[in-house]
Amino acid sequence: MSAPPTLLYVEDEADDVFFMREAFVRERVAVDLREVGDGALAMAYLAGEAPFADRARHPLPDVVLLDLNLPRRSGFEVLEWLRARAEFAALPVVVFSSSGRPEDRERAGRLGATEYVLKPSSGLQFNVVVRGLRGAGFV
Amino acid sequence: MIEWVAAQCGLVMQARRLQGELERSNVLLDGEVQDRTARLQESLAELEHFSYTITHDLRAPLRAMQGFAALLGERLGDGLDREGRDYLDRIGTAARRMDRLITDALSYSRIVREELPLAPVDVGALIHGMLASYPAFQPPAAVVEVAPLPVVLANEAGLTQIFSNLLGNAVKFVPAGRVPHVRIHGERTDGSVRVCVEDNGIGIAPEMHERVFQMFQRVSKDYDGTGIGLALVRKIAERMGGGVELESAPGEGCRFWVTLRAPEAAEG
Repeated sequence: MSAPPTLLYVEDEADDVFFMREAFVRERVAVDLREVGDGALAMAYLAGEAPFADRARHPLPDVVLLDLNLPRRSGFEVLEWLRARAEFAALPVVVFSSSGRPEDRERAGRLGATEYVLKPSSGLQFNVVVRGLRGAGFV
Repeated sequence: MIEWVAAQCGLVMQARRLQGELERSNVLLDGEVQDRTARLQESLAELEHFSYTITHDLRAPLRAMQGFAALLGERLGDGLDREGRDYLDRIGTAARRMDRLITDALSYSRIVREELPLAPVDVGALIHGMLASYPAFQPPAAVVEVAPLPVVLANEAGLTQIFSNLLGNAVKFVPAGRVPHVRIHGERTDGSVRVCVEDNGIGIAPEMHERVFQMFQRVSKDYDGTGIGLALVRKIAERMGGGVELESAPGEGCRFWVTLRAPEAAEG
C-alpha cells in the first residue's frame, strides 16, 4: 500500500480544520493532513523555511486546500506567490472559501487556482468537499 | 469723451476682475468636487470591505454551530431524549436562519451597488429552467403552470433573483396540507411587459401590501423567512427600470405583478 497523499490545509478557523479532518475519516479517505493557520506560514511551509525546514517531517504537499480570508497573507497572495515559482506550477491548489462573490472566484482563477469550492454552511457537510477532492483525483 | 472712455475702462476692468474671481472659484469648486468624490469612493470601498469581512467572519462560527449540533445529534443518537433532540434541532435551525439572514442581507447590499446591464431575456425559458432544477417547484410538492411569456429587456441574474424569490414565496406561504398551485402569465403593454406570479396561498392583508416590500418585514412568524426577499425583488425590478405590485387579500392568494421593459423600448 502506498503512502497516503499529503494535503496542506491553509485555514485560520480551527473548527473548519476539525470538520475537515472529521470529513476525511467519515469518507474513509486516507490523507496526511497538514494544517497551517495563516498565509505567511503557508509560504514558509512550501518554501521549506523555519519552522518547516525539515522536509522529512514536513513533506511537500500533493495538494493545497486554501482558504482566502487569512491572517498576515491572504489566500490570493499565497496563490500568486506559489504560481510565480516553477516548482509549484503544477501543484493542485483548491481554493476553499465562504465567499460566493464572482469577483473572488474570477480572481482566484486568474491567479491559477485549480478549483474553487464554496464552504458549506455546516461543518458536517464538508464530506462533499472530500468527495470532490477524491473525484478529481487529488486525494 | 474722456469720461466715457474712463467709464468703459472701468467696466472692462470690473468684468475682468469678475471673470478672474469666477475662474478661481471654479478651480476651487473643481478641487472640492474631486476631493469629495475621492472621499466618497474611499468610504464606499471601506463599506464594501467591511460588509464582506463581517459576512465571512460571522458565518464561520455559524458553520461550527450547525456542524457541532449535527455531530452531537449523531453521536448521542438514541441516548438523547425528545427534549434534548428538540434543543439540538433548535440550535441548528437558529444557526441556519442567521446564515440565511447574512447571505440575504449581503445579496441585497450587492444588488444596490452592482451594475445591472440589460439585454433581451427569454423570461419563459429562464423560469422553466428554474422549475426544472428545484423539486420544490415540481409535482407532487407543487403545481406550477407557465403561460407563454414575452421577451423582456432585463438583467438575467437580476431576473433569476426576482423569480426565485417570488416562486419560493408562492410555494411556501400556503396553509398546511394544501398543494401550492402557481400560475405565471404575462402581457405586453406599450413599451413594457408585465409578468404575473399568482398563487393559492394564505394571501396578504391590504394594509400590509406596502410593508412587505420593506427590509426585514415578514408577513407571518409561522413561516420561515428573513424578510429580505421581497425588498430584494422590488429593488432589482426598480434598478432594471421596472417595478412590482401586489394584489391580494387574506385567504385569496397573491398576485405579484412584475413590470419590466420590453426590448424595443431600449432602441426607441
